[in-house]
Amino acid sequence: MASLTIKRQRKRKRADTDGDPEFQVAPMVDVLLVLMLFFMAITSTEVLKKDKNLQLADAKHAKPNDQNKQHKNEIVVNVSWDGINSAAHFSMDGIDYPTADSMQGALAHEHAANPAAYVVIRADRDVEYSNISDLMSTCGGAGISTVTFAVLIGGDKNKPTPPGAALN
Amino acid sequence: MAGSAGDGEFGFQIAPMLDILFVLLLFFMVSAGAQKHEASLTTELPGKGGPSGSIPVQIGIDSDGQVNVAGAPLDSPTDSDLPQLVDRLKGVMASNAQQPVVITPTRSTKHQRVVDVLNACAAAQVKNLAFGSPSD
Repeated sequence: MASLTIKRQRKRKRADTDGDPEFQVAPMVDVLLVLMLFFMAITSTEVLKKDKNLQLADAKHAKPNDQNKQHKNEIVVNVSWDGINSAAHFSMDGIDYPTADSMQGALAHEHAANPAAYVVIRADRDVEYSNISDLMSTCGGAGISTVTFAVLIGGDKNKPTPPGAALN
Repeated sequence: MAGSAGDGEFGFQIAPMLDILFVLLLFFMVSAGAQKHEASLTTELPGKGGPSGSIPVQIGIDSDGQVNVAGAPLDSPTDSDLPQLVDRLKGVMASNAQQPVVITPTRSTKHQRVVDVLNACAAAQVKNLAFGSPSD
């Protein structure tokens, strides 16, 4: 009798462990959260500093930006192009500047705060070189000797140019 | 569901949470795919280094995009790859890897064309690069 009870107990135990595998929700949620964190991390670039309306120039042989690199030394200057009025607009940290010369004070202040800082010029592909030249002169005047041009690697050439640019 | 609500116990509802997680995941996946990869072309401004002994290679860019080296035109104004310029610069770099190169666009040259030339210099592994004062 006793052996029968033991056999039954064993049988029940086996049914508990060997039964149909259940769908485990908790590990799935773990994986989902990790995936979501991953995609959040790779999408969160420094959006605030960058003007997304710019059409950057294309360059195949440019050095890709290091994703892990600290961006604290970067001073991002956006140069957009108004094709209708044939004028460039400068902006830095969300502040607009009418000319490149007017940025000198701000750039000198940045350079004084961080001597290792360098300027990243994010210029529209249609900007005339005189504006870039003025900006580089301003950088030199502010004591910043290293300038980097932001470009796209294999950018979308098929993308239509904005109507303003077609008037040039 | 009604039973658990009626009992006054609030069980953790995992199905709506999964729905939201899936939607968030999809959103971030789609926005990650649309992201453009930016790169950089770095140059040192004049004033830091001293003058070098060798005479620099002068690359001019006209307002229509025509590239010329020491006055001789190379490639077509619409060719963004600039193969002739790259070959020429590679030849120069092979004889002197520290050869300075000066890019002198006109004031109305488009930034894209300047970047094309910078790109050609990067392809030819030019190390000493400078910008000249823009010509009119």
